[in-house]
Amino acid sequence: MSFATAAERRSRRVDRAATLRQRIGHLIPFYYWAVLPALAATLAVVVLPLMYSFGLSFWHYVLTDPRNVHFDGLANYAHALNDPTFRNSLGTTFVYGVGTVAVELVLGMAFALVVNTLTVGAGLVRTAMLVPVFMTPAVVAFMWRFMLHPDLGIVNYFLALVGLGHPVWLGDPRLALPSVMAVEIWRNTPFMFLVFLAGMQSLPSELFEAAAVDGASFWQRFRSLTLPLLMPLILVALIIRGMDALREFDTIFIMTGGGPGNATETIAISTYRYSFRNYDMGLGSAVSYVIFAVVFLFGIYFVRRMNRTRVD
Amino acid sequence: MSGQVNRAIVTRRRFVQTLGVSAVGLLLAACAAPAATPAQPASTAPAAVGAGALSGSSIRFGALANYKGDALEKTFPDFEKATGIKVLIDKLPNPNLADKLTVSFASRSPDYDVAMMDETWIAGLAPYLTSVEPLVTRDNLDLKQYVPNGLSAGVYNGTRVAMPLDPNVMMLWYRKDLFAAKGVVAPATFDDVIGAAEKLNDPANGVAGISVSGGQDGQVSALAEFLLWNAGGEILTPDKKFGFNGPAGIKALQTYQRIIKSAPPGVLAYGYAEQINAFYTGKAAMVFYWASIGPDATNPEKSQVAKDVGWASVPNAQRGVWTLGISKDSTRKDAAWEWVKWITGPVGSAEFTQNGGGHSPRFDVLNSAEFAQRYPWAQDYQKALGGARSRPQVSSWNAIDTVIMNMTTSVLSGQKQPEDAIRAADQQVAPYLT
Repeated sequence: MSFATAAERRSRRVDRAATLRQRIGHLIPFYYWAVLPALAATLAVVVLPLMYSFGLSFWHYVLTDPRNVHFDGLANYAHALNDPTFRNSLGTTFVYGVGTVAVELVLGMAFALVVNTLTVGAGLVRTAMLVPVFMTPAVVAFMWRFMLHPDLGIVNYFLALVGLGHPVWLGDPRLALPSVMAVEIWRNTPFMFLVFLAGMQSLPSELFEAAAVDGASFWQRFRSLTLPLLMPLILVALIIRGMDALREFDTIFIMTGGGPGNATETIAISTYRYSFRNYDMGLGSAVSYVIFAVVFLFGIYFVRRMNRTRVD
Repeated sequence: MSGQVNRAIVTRRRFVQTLGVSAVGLLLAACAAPAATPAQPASTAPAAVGAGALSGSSIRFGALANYKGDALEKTFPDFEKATGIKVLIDKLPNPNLADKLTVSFASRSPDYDVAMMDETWIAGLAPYLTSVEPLVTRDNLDLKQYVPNGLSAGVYNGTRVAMPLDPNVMMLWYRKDLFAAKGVVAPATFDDVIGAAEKLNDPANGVAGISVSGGQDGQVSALAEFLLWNAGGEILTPDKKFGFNGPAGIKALQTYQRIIKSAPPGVLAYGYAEQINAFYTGKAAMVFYWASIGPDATNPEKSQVAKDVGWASVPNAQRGVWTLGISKDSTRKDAAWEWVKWITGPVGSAEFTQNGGGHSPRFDVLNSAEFAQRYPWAQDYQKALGGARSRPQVSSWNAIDTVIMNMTTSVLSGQKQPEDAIRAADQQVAPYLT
């Protein structure tokens, strides 16, 4: 019986390690290992918090009642869907989202059509149009809140000059939602305008020249050429703005706080109220996932439409 | 080559499978209990440590970012000179301070050793606060020096978890010149206030009878709650029901509707800033607001009507005491207590009031000549505070208060009748009262 020398034992250990490395390398190629750090970082900062909040949505977890933390199943979802205020906020969100995006789409397209035909001053108009996009939403909200102030606002000052009185824009339930929607439209129409203008300027001019030679009117050219060719861009713009509008928080929160009553309370405001007024993290998380579901379904619908448009 | 391709396909599958298994594992982990249940408030005092032994230490203090925070900050040099303890202040605006304290304390690794808290936050924060009862006993604090209606704000479920810093109370601030011109005497009750508002309301000359909040603001719920008390109701009944749901609640909301008829035209969009601004700029003959506006209302640099401002106490006024509490998870409780003891003691409290921070919870400061000189309404203030009412001490107060605010603004803006609004609010409040 002979014993392995130290050198032989070391050599076997090295061989075993090499074999292990080979097996792992065979199982998972190097390039997968190379993306592992990035994957781990993404998991840590994106996926884990999402999963944590998703888990939280099944718990009764109120920060001010820490002795009563327990698993609650779907109770938070049931609570949210049975809460008339939340159901009302779903409706308000729908009106707000559809209303603002539709008007932005029409106005953005109209402005783009006009600026696209300008031969002089197009650059200046384009730059001026972009100013609202670059303004911080909170600043925009404060600015408009002051401009719509019933006593001190410039809007009511001019209305009073022409004898139209002093409407309470943000305190009257009939005016509050249209007012915040108008501010959102003012802020985001330039985005639509920019996307559509860029799209129009990249369209082949030969098609339009041929249509003009064939005697097509402006409206016919717009309906039969511009609109179909821009459809993929329109859908992308609708997806981006639609998702933004469904999640809108800062403008409404600063301008009306969701009031008067619940007249301007969207689901994002409800989430804030549940999470940071009531400190109900479970319910707040559940409502967040309802928003996620709404935005997800909206996104899926438009992406499918976009893919179909591309195939056509 | 094909073998390599096949191997790559299998490996990718395994990779995705591994990811899937990991994701399920993570999901299960995420569904685990969110936080450990904290223990009861500490009931034993830390061993006494001489102030000298704490010299050189520092504490973190979360406070309001307004004139109160500024006034507190001005006292730091004297406190540091007296104890050698450094105070590091973090000033945050009102709603953000509550959020930050709650989230930070719930994390069990608090950002602050000492927290400045409105009395309505105490019930929610109590599980994270240390009991100061043993410290009060250990240091022989003379609690008889404190106004009882201010001192009681720091007690939750029979345990003292905070000391009063600045008891605020609602008072009536009015224009003496307008009252004299119309022969109206200073109101003694809130019914008198409403009567005076209707007499003094003069929209043709741009002067409203009274300025109140009518928009989405905490002052709306504060006034609605006061009107409920005035109508003989309670916010929460003894059997834990929503007190607005009854004749007193309906009367309270109807009275609010009546009041806004004598308010400035834009009242439905008024928050606290517009409310007091209307009074300072001469657009309203009265404002029913916290005593803390006294220094600004009577300061000609801040108020156009400063020289004509009068004041009066009103029965059943709402109390709002700013308090100081110590985090249960603080590792510097002794130094934190030294700060709380000093700033609520005779020297610190006097300095705080002279710096313009607000009122004092202490009789020795309130009855001093210096205080009376700086706060000429001191007598009426003490009378108002003595008869003031407090909001219920429940951990879900924020949620209930928000429902009251929404209920009231929906009535004021004409969306709902008082009965319908109260019925809807009752349903919304119910889950928070179980």
